[in-house]
Amino acid sequence: MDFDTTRDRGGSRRGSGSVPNLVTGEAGHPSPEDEAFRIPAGSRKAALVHLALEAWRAGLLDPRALGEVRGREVDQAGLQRALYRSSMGEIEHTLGPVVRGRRLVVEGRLAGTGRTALERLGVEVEELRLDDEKRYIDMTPAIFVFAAIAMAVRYISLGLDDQDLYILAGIFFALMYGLRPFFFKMQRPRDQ
Amino acid sequence: MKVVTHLIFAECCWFATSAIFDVHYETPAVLAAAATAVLPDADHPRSWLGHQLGSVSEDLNRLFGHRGFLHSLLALMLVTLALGLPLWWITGRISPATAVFVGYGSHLFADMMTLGGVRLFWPSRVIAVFPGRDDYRVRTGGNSERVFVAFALVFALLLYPVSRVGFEGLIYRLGGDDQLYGRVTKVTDGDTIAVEIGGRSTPVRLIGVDTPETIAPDQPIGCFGPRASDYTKQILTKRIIRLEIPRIGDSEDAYGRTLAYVYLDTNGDGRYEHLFNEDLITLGLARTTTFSHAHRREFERLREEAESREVGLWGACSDVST
Repeated sequence: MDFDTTRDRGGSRRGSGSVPNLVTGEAGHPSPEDEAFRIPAGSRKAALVHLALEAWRAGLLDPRALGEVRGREVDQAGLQRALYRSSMGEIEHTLGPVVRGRRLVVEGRLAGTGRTALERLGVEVEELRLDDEKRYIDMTPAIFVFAAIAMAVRYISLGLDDQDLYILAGIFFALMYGLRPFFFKMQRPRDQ
Repeated sequence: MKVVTHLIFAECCWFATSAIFDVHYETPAVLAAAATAVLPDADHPRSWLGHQLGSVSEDLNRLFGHRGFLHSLLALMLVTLALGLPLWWITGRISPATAVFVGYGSHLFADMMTLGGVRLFWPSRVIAVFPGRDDYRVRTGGNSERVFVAFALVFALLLYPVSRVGFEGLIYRLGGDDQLYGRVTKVTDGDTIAVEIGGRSTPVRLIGVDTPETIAPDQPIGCFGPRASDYTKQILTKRIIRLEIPRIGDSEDAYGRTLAYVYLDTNGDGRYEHLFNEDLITLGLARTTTFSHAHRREFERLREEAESREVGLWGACSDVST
């Protein structure tokens, strides 16, 4: 598999001191005044990939340190592909030493464990949020708490020798268990 | 959501609560659930309640915004304390207080099911929604709300009779019963008789009633016990009765007596449909038992009525435990 996706083989590469012709530069550049990286919001892996690309643009990351690059020279698209194919552990291992202590501005909110992962690398994370930004909390998982209670009540009713409580809890739990796939489907998709 | 939707959903929730939990269905409780179900919309000047409140609603809207403080868990707790506790104190029953909690809570839950959600954890700005996926939530005033209210109405109508007898009553009724006809040969006590069925005498203990003791060897004769015993003797001796023995639960007690409801043919049409067990409670001759059975809720209501009218042992005896 060839990861050398360079279109302009005659052009200069990172390592020889010049910046490549960026294809997707929407993520922004490190501000010269505070040297902060700037990445778009996204999942944990997307955040790590964008941060790695930023570090690469700043000349801090050697792409060949990544196994998926296989020692070849890559442009941004090639590096991005290689990063997405790499495990998060490997990206963190490669990225950690070069971004430690750096400031990172995220254009939005990091979903899931993205923020924790970046902070573990020693990055100072700042998420840009709108004043009127709406944040939602999905209460669907509360159903599973009720299902757990129903299951507990069945055993309690056995101990109390309460027949109708046992039947009621059993019906409720069976209903919860039967509708389980639907409850999973009801859950809110992760914020992008 | 519209006020009608909240009212129907609140009653649906209240009927479900009173069916599952041991809270009596009562008119004040139904009214309390309905009244508190519209209360959170006081912060919305264009709502039905907002129109009634006028400037107060506008002030609330300015202060907290719609679906802010009044749609939070904090408000639910405060309203339950502020309205529920006085109602409990005034009526002497916990059901209206529970209804306040259920009515108000049903409004929050229903609004959580709309696209906008509610700020359930106010003062936090986070919006609680259920279910999480936007496509499954209700659009206020849209077709989805009509479907929602139709479902709530159907469930309310189904749950209404269940709330009268309780879930346990429904289970026992669904379980069915065995019917036996026989002649009463002996009345041992107010709640114990001997019935001849198929040429054999069977001791029968009436379900759900407990008359004061008259013949227990290690217990004194209870207040109103002889009156209860005399009444049972007067009505049942040598009479043909129908026994209804539930299929769910034990059919005999610890003394080997068959547990049954006793039905009488009072108007001579051959249909044994008058429940004698109820008579003992209505006339204040018996207390109710606490264990589950098909007619427990009805018996409890009759006992409360007898107690409030101070008939029978409730008026004559100084210390009667329910």
